[in-house]
Amino acid sequence: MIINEIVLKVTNICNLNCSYCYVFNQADDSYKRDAPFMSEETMIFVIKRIYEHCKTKNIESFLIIFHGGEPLLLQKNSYIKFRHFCQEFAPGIEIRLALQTNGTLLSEEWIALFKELDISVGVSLDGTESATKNRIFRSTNKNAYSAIIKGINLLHKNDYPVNILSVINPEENPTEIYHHLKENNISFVDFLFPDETFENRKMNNSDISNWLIQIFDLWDNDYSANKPMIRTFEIIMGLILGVERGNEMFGSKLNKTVCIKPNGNIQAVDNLMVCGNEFTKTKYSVLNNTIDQAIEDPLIKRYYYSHSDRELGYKCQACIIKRICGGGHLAHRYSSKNGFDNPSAYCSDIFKLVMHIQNKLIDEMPSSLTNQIGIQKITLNDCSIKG
Amino acid sequence: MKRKKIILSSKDLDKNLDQINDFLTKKGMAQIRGGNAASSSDWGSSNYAESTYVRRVIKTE
Repeated sequence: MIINEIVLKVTNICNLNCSYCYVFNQADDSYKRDAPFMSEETMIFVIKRIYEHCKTKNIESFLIIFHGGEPLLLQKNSYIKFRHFCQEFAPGIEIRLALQTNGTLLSEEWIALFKELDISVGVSLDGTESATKNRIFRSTNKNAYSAIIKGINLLHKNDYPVNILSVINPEENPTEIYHHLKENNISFVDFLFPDETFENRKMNNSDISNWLIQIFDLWDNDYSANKPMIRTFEIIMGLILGVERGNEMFGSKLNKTVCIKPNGNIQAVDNLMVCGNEFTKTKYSVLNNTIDQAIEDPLIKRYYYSHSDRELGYKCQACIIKRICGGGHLAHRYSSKNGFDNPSAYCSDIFKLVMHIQNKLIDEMPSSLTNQIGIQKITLNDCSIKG
Repeated sequence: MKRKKIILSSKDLDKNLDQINDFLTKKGMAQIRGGNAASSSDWGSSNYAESTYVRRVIKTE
C-alpha cells in the first residue's frame, strides 16, 4: 500500500458552526478530547514519517492538505516553520501543500504567505447567502456569507486561484447557485454530497441527482469564457472517455490518503467520523509508529481499497457503472446492521447522475465519433441495484 | 447476454483522442490525455474530496 496524500488536521477548533459538520455536529465528539492545535514537535514527526514512507515506497511527490477545524486559526509562523521542516526533514521529496479554509479569516498577509510558501487554497462556500444559512459564526450566531465572500474577493484581488467546495443543499435553487459561482468568477468548484450513512439519512432518493443534473445542464450549455471547472462532472466524463480519473467519491482508483489528527493519531479520513463516535480512532501515532504500520489499521485498509472488488458488495460488483462510481464514498455505505456491506445510500442518485451525463455526452458528440467509439446509452433498467 | 459498452478502453481513447479533445474544447471543458498519461493523474486533483487541490497546467501563448 502506498500513501501519497495526508489530510493534516492542524486544529480541532473552528470559528464557524456548520450544521452538517462531521467534526462538531455529527456522530463523533472526539474534538472534545483531542489537542486543540498540532504542536511543532508533532509536525516534525509527521514530516519524518512522510519522508520515511516516501523513501521506502519510492515516492517522489507527496500532497499535504491542511485541514481543521479552521486551519487559519493556527499561527502564520507555524506554516513558515512547517515549510522549513519539509526542506530539513524531507530532502529531495516534492511536498505539495494545500489548505482548505472557511475563508472568513483570509487577509492580505495570509495570501502573501500562501504565495511565499506555495500553498494551494480552497474555500468552502455553499452558494448564495440563503444557501449559507447553515454556516454561522460561533461567537455571534450570524450568517458567515459576507465574511466568506470578502475572503474570496481578497484572493481575486491578489490574483490567487479561487477553488471552491460546496456542500449540496437540494432546498436551494441550483440555477441561482450556478450563476452565483459565475458572478464570483469561481474557476474551480466541486459539489460535495452531504456526509450521510443509512442511519442519519435526511435526503430522499433523487434529491441530490435532480439538483446535480440541473447544475450539469447549465454547465454543459455554458459556452462562456468564465465557465468553471466542476470536478465531479469532469471526473465522470473522463471515466466514460477512458481516463483513469477519480477520487474517494468516484472511479476505481485506490484511496492513497490518510488523516493525521492534531495529537498525531494516524487515522482513516475524517469524513468516516459520520459512522460513529471515535470510529476512525486507531492505536497508531506519528510519535510512535510509521505510516506503513498505521496502514495495517482495518478501516484505513478498507478505505484504501474501497473502490475495488474486495470491498464492494456483490450488487455493486455486478453493476454496469461500477468503474465510474466505484461504489461511491465508503462513509455513505455504512449502516450499523451491515457495516459497509451496502451499496451507497446515494446509489440511485449516483446512477441517475451518471446515466444523465453518459446519455447527454452521446447525444452531443458527432455521430461519426460515437459510431467509432461505440459507447452506448444506459437506462434505469441497467441498474443492478433496485430500490 | 452481451454487456453494454459504456466506457472507452484506453486503446479506444488513444485512437480517437484528437476528435474527443476537439469535442471537449468546443464545450469549454478540460482536455484529456491518452497513452500512459491517461492512467496518471492528468489534472492532479486531490483524492480527498474535501480539498480542492489541483495541479494546474499553465497555458503559454
